[in-house]
Amino acid sequence: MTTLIALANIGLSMTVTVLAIYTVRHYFFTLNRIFGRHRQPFVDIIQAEWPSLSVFVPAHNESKVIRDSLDALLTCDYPEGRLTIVPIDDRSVDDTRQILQEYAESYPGRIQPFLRDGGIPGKAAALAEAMERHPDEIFLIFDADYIPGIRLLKQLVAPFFDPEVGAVMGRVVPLNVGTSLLTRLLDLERAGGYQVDQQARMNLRLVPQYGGTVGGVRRIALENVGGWNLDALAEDTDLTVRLVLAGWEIVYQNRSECYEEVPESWESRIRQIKRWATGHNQALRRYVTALILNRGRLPAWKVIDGVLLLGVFAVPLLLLLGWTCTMILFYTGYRPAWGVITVLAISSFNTVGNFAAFFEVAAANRLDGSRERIRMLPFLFLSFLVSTFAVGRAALSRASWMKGRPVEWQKTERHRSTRPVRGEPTGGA
Amino acid sequence: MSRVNGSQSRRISEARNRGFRGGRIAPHRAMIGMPVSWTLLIDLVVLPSIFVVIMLLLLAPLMSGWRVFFEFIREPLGLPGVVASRVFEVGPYAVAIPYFTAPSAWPSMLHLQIGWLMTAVMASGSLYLRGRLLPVAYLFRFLAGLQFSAQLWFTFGSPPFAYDLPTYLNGLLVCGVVILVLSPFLVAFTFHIFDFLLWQKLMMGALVLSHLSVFLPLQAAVHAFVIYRASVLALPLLFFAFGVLLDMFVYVALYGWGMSWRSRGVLDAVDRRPPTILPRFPVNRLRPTPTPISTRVITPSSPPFARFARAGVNFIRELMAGERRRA
Repeated sequence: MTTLIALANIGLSMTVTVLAIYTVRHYFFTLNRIFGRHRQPFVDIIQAEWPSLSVFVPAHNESKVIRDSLDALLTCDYPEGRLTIVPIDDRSVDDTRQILQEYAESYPGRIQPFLRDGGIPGKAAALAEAMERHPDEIFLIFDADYIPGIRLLKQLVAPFFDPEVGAVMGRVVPLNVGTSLLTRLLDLERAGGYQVDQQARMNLRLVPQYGGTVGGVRRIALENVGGWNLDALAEDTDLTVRLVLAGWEIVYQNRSECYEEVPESWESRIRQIKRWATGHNQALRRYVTALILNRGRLPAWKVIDGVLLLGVFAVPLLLLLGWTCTMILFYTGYRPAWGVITVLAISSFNTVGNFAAFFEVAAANRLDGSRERIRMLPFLFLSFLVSTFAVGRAALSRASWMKGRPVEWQKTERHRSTRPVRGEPTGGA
Repeated sequence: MSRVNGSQSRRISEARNRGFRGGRIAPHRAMIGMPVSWTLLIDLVVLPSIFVVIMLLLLAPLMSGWRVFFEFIREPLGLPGVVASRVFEVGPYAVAIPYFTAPSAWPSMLHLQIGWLMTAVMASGSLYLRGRLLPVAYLFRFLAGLQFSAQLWFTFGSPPFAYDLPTYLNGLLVCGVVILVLSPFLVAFTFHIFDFLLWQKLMMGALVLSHLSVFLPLQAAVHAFVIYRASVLALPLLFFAFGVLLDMFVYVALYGWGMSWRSRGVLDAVDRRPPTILPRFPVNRLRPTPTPISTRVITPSSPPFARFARAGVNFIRELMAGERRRA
């Protein structure tokens, strides 16, 4: 029994230490975003010698949404002669391919679809093959449900005028916010993640994450780190870490907003977050040693932030350990040695520690001007609970930690109704 | 720009934010932030200190109020024993926190059977909650998991349990009092730093303190009633799920409401929220115009060839233009 209590004490101390680090990080990032100086390099440039650009739109059964995305890209203000839009159809079984062919005929030269019927499935493989066919200097990537604004391409390309920048990431904003409780909660979470987390990392010159969509990468940087990792379950996180290890800068442009559909059903959300967690943990397994050993001679704070970024989806496992240890200590009637100090520490940690994520989300939405939405804050507990269970299950899966899982297309369900064909009223807002 | 350190002078900074007819241009939500000023010192130190001092002064009468409430509610709840007090000391400060002395029994067979049944109902019922109710299913599973651990312990364990009702209640209320005294600093750190008006900051502090002052004894009374009736079998679930965690959510709810108040400050200058309804391509944006059919005929569809041809034509044009300029 004594050994069990000692082990539980060690486990709980470890958990509390890690959680305390994440708590401090939450508060520090939020305060930096509120009071810090914001870095948004070159975001105002509108006249320049723009580099040649390929915009990739990977699509797998995206007939419901791909038209809007392509129309939006076609009306962007990037110089026409320097822009090629490359929708990538990877084995779609719906009308996606016909739609792409129709657009290719209507906009010859500007839209050059890449149609895949074989090869390794998955986004990374599709992007790798498409990249080989387009010798442009910069690649931007948008998911098929994204609707970029008119100036977005220039805003995302502008940071590449700095030769040290290897990748750029924009802000993702949900467009179907009012659909359900889940979409409202995801809107709150996304605001916290981008408006606070990503921008604070950018301000502090840490590791803003390249998110795989509404972002881009420089060809030379990509080649320098060995191209796309075809067996990566989360090619974005994988690339982020490799770029950082190789010394490339990643820029987050908070001003460059792009609208996306967030999952409208909890089942779809669980699938999405499990996929993210599995991919993230795979990247953690692959790169955490390299980061800690610091072969790239990165600044210490960048290494720490990189490790914390990679470890974020492993936290639920730690929480599970912490709960187990707490229960062991509780049932065995273990009394902490420090009496009053322990009571103070536990009370403080329970309130301040648990509140950190809520603070971040509320601050982000206040900055966004979404005042009324903050009243939904207590309901975030439900979202956190579902995410913790889902991520915990993903973290326990073989795919997170073992090799050999085949990569496949993992799609988030689309909820938009199919758009009427050209010429018919669209009924947009 | 300042010649010394390259920073913008205040006048230039102000001029940049002036718009049509001298109106103020509100910054985009991506760029908005708040300046660090000396008033933060008031927000972070002075206001919470005032609240803490007031709270410490009011703590003794508040505890008397709790004691009166406990004595009033003890009989209607059917709790035996008396309302006792235990002194909680931190340094030179001491406060007598009241609690019930009602005994708590080791669960009987009936308690265990009802407990197992409720756990099973919660766990199996969660399997039928789908769609919009899925998060409720997860909540049920979480609660069922906690109760399952208690069921296991009390089914296979033997008395005495490490905690009895009086000790547990005293611990819960001690934690509550600590939270009560420290919460002004949490309010300051998370709410006062924003650009709210002074009365809003004072209001939020007062709201949190008064709500917790009423909520904590009510919570303790409910816990006492449940544990006395349902034995210590209910204690772990109440401790883990409806104890300090619930106190924290009281603050989250009030905080969420407070953060939605209009402040007339920097962050409230305009409504900068991203659009909520954007079902597809916005109608106020022109659709792309397809390339005319006549042009398509002479535009090669093969991308490399098209580029090569265009580059060739452009090269010849530039050559000819150069010749003309020279001539």
